Amino acid sequence: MLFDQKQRPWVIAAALILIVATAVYIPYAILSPQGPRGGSAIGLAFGIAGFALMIFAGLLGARKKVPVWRIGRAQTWMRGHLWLGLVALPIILFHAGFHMRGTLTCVLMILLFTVIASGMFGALLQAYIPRRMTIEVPMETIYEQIDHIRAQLREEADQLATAACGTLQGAPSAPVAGANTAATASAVEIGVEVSEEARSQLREFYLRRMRPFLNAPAAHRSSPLADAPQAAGLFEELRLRMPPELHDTLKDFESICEEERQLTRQAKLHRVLHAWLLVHVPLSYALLALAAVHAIVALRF
Amino acid sequence: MPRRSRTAKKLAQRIELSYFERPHPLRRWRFILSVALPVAALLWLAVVRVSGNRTPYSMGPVSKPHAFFGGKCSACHVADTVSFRHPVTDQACLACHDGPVHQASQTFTPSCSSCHAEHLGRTQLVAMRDVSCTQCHASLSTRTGAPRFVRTVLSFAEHPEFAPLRDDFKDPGTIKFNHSVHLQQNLLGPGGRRVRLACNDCHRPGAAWGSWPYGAPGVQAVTLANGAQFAPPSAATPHFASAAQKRSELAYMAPPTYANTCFACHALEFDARFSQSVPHDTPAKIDAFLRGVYQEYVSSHPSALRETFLPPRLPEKPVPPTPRVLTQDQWVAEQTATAENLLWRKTCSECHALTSSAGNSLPAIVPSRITIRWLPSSFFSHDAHRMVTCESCHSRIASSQLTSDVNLPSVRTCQQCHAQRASAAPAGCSECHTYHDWSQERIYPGKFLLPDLLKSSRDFAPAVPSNAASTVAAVVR
Repeated sequence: MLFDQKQRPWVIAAALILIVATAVYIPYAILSPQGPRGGSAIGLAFGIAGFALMIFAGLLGARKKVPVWRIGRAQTWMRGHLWLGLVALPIILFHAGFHMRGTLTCVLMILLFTVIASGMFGALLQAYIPRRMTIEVPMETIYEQIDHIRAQLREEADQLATAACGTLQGAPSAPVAGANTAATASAVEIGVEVSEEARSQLREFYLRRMRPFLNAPAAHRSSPLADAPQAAGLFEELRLRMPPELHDTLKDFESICEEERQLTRQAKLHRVLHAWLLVHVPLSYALLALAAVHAIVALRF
Repeated sequence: MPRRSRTAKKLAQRIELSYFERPHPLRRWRFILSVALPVAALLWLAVVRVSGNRTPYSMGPVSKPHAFFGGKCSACHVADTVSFRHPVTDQACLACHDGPVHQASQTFTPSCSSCHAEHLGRTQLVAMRDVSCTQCHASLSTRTGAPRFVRTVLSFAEHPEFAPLRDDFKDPGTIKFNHSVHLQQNLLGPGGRRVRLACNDCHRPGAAWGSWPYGAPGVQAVTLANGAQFAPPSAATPHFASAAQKRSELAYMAPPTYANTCFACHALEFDARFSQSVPHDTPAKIDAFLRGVYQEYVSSHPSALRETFLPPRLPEKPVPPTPRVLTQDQWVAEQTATAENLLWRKTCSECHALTSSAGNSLPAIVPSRITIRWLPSSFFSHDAHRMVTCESCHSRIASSQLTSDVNLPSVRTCQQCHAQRASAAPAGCSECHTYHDWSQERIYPGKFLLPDLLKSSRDFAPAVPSNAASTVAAVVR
């Protein structure tokens, strides 16, 4: 999400709502015999307005669930969600007269602050991380495909290694379930005429260092292959030791490792980009549920 | 040797088309939490509701006097027969309290809860914000025409001058007293020593303790401005049953009495032959005292009956002395008359106003009519202001020569300290004024049974007084 010119109408709308609310609140707070209270007419009006804004913000989830609804683009709803949801906080503070009071209202206020804070944090992440992803992960794929592509990468690497070194005896069987056989089409199919010593060295490198890294990259974060400069140095060293006939294979290995690193990076950035929703969304629903109870109880008493 | 390549076709072939059918861990957790958290929140409310605990729903702790009813919502929140609402009605308040009307001619009577807001914690329910008062006093109108109070008062900064100071008001007191003279240096004090009087030598709160430097033992009543008799307390060290009683007892200055403040300097001598003074009492009692003294004197001094009358010396024409012999009664009557002449014309009238009436040989003392509370519509505590010297507020006292001078401090004096700023003393209306006219308060019979009060909040049933409606109507009237 970009903080661009398209945000302006929503910013203006939110600012106008805030200005009007403040203009109403100040004389109301000064002139109220017992100070601003949620149960007074103006306090109730603030409460209803704040609750309506919260419900509007919550409708973004419904809008995303049913994309075929012709009620505006999801991006437009997101902008409204962001700015009108944000302005719900001062409106609710006006409703409460900047007090927490009882247990339920205290819980509601804590939930509101947490939801708004997590939302603001998420909005900042949404503005920052996609750009970083574009720069750092040019081979970005669909997040859900990462495990599938990793399996393909392992199979591809196995075939490249087999072609270059012969049979990979003792190689642990890598999980390649669901791997697309077409993916292996890029691998070499014909062996290379090199000395047995060179093959042995390449096989040893592959089986001892590269394959474990491809199998479980998370468990090999300290591996030189997990770090781009170290990996480049390592492959440069291998090229010096290997005959030129194997340099192409090494280049492919290097490319596969780079892709694996990018997939790891993408998975990490994706988790950062979406993990805040585990706080924001469930707490929003809890906030709406408790706010509804609060509204009923407050109107009753 | 063929190498790996990344053509669009190959990349497209790498995609697993059914990926969206597999659960996404973040989405799955988001869904689980989105269901679990609201359910847990509602479950929490349901559990506390079933257990009879209303605390989560409360908008905050109730005030200390109502803390006993904190969990018994229905004690104040009475079910509305028409809607589902349970508002706090005036009847609920009037089940325990009276709420006397403010002014009979007021046009608007606010509900109890509009001023006494509950659920604000341990606050004073009687502490009002100024807007509670200014909703009427900003532009005062009455049902009976023009108000007798100032029409517009918005804050203490705009408070009008106190009524006794703004309407050329005169002190109604009848004791002739000159503050200016009594506050001079080197006054002739008891035993001929020179003294300088301090304010608290004569003015002390009603329950002041300690000895009076210029007083005599004994308690004497004094007539107040409203005609009531005031007897200063005799206890050397007063005992207060409560802090409220102490505040009340030490609030206002007691009227000075002769016995406490004048006795040592102003002896009521009546005859050079006697060192004693007449009692500071009614003329009838003084008359009886004098007759008794002279009767006793002449009984022990019979020679006093044969006296030689010495006429006034006239240089031009000397008159020879005339010897007289009087009976005992004649002598006592003459001596009493002479002494009373001195007392009524000089000694007593030095301070008191005396009136004579036909058919009564003795004069009547005009009641002193000393004012204790100059501002009866407000409350002031001298005790709360004891850190301030008397003269700093009563600034005109050193130059006051007449009894009719009103030496009340101006409201401007109060406004120097009491103002709407953080470093100032409080300046709210309720600091000095009360809304309800407590002189109209009626005693309410109890409405609750002790076992009912001790029931749990779930079983508690409110007790609405049968006469509540009529009481509210009376308040509104």
